[in-house]
Amino acid sequence: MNVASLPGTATLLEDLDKKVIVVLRDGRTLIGYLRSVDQFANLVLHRTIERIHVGKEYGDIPRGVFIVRGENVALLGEIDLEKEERIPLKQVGVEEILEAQRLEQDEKQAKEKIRLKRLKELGLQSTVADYTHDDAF
Amino acid sequence: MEDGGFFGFDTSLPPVRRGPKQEIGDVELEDTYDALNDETFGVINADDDWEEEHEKLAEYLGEIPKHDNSKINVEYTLDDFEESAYPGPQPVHLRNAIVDKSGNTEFEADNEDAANVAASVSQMLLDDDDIDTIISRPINYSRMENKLFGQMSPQSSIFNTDIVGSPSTPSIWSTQPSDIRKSSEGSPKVVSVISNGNQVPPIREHNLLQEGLFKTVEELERHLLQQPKRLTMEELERNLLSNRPLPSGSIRSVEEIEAELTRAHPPQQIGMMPPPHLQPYLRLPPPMSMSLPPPVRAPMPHPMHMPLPMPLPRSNGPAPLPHQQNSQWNRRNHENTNQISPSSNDASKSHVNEKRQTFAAENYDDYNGLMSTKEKQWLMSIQINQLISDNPYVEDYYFTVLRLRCLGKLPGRDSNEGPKLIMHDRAKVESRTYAPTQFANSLGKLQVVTYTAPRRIIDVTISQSTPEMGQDPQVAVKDMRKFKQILLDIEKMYVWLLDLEDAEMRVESLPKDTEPGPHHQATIEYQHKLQSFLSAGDRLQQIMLVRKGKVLILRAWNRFSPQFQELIVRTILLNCLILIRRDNIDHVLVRFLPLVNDVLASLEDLQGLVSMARLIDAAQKNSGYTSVTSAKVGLDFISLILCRGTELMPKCSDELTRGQWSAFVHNVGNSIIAAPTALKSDLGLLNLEHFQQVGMEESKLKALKIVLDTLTHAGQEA
Repeated sequence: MNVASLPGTATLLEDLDKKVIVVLRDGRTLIGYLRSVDQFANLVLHRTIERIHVGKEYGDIPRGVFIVRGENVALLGEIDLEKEERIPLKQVGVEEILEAQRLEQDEKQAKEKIRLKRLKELGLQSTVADYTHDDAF
Repeated sequence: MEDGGFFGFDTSLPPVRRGPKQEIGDVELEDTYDALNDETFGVINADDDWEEEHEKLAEYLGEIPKHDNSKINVEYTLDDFEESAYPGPQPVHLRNAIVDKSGNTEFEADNEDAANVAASVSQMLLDDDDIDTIISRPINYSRMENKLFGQMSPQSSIFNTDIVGSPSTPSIWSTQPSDIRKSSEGSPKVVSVISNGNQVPPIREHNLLQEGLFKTVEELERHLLQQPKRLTMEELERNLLSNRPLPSGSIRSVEEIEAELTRAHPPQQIGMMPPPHLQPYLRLPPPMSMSLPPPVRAPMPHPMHMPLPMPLPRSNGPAPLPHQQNSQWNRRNHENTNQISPSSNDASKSHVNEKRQTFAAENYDDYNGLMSTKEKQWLMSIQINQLISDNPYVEDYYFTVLRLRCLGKLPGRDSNEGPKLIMHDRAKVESRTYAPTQFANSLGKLQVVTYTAPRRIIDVTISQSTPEMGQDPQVAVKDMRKFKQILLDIEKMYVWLLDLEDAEMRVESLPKDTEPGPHHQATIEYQHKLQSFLSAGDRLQQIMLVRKGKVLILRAWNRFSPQFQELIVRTILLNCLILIRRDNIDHVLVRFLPLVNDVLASLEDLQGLVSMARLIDAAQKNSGYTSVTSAKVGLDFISLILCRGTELMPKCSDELTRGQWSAFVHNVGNSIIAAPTALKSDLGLLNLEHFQQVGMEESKLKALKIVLDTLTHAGQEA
C-alpha cells in the first residue's frame, strides 16, 4: 500500500489500527484503536475508553465502539504504548473521578459567577449570552 | 398482552412499520396486501402435525437438540439475550445443552453461522459474487438476528422500565444496562469464530442466490403484483434441494417473517424456531440480509433511486440489484455516502487474505485491517484528487517553488540564474485615477437617481460646440457623425500605437544579436499601419484638431519617417490658425515646438523653409500675421522659422527665394509692431538680427527692438 506522502496534506490512513487519543470539541478525551476513517475524518474507534482527567488523577470509562463525526474532533494523535505505561498521573475509579469532575465543574461555575458579578459591578455586562461558544476550547 | 391499554392498541404485536427501513412504496401495496392470507402460512390443515414437521426440519438444519423432541422451546433468559447480542457462540449453558449426536456438525454449524455473520459484519461488504463465500450454509435467521442486534422487537417489559437502549447496552431493547465491561469482553468470542469462518469453503449449493433471488427490480415488482402461488412446505423443500428457482411470490420480506414469527409466538420465546412452513422462506432472504444489514442499516441516502417493491425490506434492496446495477449503485454510494465502502469482487478475498497474514504478525489484533487496501486507496485517491490543480504556480506558488527547489529542478536562492523576467502585457503608463467632472461651487458629484441606479454619477464631458442657427440639422448630424468617426479613428490608432510600443519593448528585452522574430515584424507592421492610416485624406488635419490626436502624434513621432514628420509640420503650419484657436484649451501644441525645430533643422535650404512660411501665409488668408503672432504658440512657431531662416539666408543664392524670405520677415515684423502689447513668447528667440538681415527700416527696427526687449525680459522674468 503506497502512501503518497504529499507535503502539505494530512492523512489518517497511517494511524489505522493504532491506539490513538482523540480530543473532542466538547472537551472529552477518548482513547481507542482507530479502525476506519473516511474523507470527512469520521472515525471508528474500537475498544474506546473515555478518560476523565481531574488534576493529577484520571479515570477510565470503557465505552466500546465509537463512531465520531469528523467535525467534532479537535485533536487526534497516536499514543506511544511505552510511554503510556509510565504516565505520571494516578488512576482512580470511575465514581471517584466523576465525583472529582463534578466538584471541579462546580468550582469553575462558582468562579465564573464571581467574575461576572465583578464585571457587572464595573459596568461591563454581557447582554447577549455566549450562545455561540459551542466548543470547550 | 395488553389490549388497548396504555397505547390503545395491542402492544404485544410487533409494529408494522419499523422506521426508516420501510419508507418506500409500502403504502399502496400494504393496503392491498393482506399478510394474514393463506399464502403466509400455507394451507392450514388441522390434521397436520406441524410441530413434528417443524422438529424434523429443525433437526435437518441442526438447530434443535435432537435428544428432546418435546423441548421445542429453548429457554432463553434475559441475560442470554444480551449475551447473544454479539456474534459468537451461544451462552455456555445453552451451548452445552446441544448434544451433538451427529458428531460435530451441530456445533460447527453454530459456529459457522456465527462465523459467517461475523465475517460479513467485519467486512461490511456489499458484494454480489462474494455471497457464496460468505454464506456457506443456511443460517437460522432468528438466532442470528438475536446475536447481531438483540431482539428485533421489544419485549413488553421494556415499557415498564426507564432504562432503555443506550450505547452502553448491547441491544437497543435491553432493559438493563448490562455491565459495560461485559460487553467489551464479548469480543474475544469472535476470535475463534473468525478463524473458523475464514476456512469455510464456499458452498455453491444454493444457486438460488444467483438465479432465483437476484432478479431485477422489474421482475420483483411483477412478481409481487401477481397473485403469489400457494406452496406447501414439501414443495418448497423439494425446490430448495433441487436448486430450482423458486416460483414467484414465494420470496417474502424479512419484515413479514418477523411479523409472522412474533405474531405466532409470544415475544419471550423469540428463540423458538419459526413454524416449519415459514422456515423455507427464511432461508432465502436471510443469507442476504445477514451480510447486508450492517452496512445498510446506516442511513440509505437515496431511496428514491431504486423503486424498491414494498415487501422487500430496504436492507434487501441492494442485494437483488447488484448484479444489474452494481456499478451504478456503488458509484452513487461512493459519491454520496461514506457509509458503504467500495465493493469489488476481489476486495473481500484479498482482505481476508490480509487478515490471515496479520495472524502471524506480532501486533496481532483481531480487528486489524478493517479497512481494506481498496478502501484505503479509495480514500487516498479522494485526498489526492483534492490536491490536483491546473495551475500550481497560480494556486500555491510558494509551495510549488519550494518543492521544485527541493527536487533540484529549480535553482536555489543563491544561484545567479533565477527566474527570468516575465513580460507582462502592456504596462500601463498613463493611469490616472478617474475623477468625474465636478462643477465649480457644487457640493460633491453630480448624481442622477433612477430605479436601477440610485446614485449614478453624471459624467460630464466637453462636447462639441452647438451647431449654429443657420445650419441645417441634417448637416449638423453629419458633422457630428464625422466627428465621432474621427474620435473612433484616434482610438483605433492609439491601440495600434500601444501594441507597437509593446512589441518594441519585447524586441528590446530580447538579448542582443537575436534573429528578428515575430515581434520585430510586428513593430514594422504597426508603424506602417499608423503612418498610412494617418496620411489618408485629411485625416491628419482632423486629428490634429482633437487633443488626443495631438497626443497620439506626439507619442508616435519617433516612428514616423522624416518625410512624414515634415508632412505633419506642414499640416500644422497650414492649419495653424485653427489649431492655435483649438489649442487654447489643450495646450498641447507647445510640445510640438521641439519637433518642429528638428524638422526645420533638417531643411537644407531656404527654399523649403520658404515654402513652410508660405503655408502660414495661406493659413491666415491675407489677414496679416497678427492673428498668429498674437498667440504665444504661433509666435514661437514663427520665431523658430525665423531663426532657421536667418541661418540659411547667407547660403542661399537664389534671388527669388531670398526675396520671398525677406517679404516674410517683413510681414512678421510689421505684425509684431502692430500688436506689441499682447505678445508673449516661451522661447524668446526673436532678436533684431532676423530683421536686420532682410534690411528692415530703421524706425521699424527701433520699434521692434523695444518690443523684443520687453518680450525677452518678460521671458526672462518668467
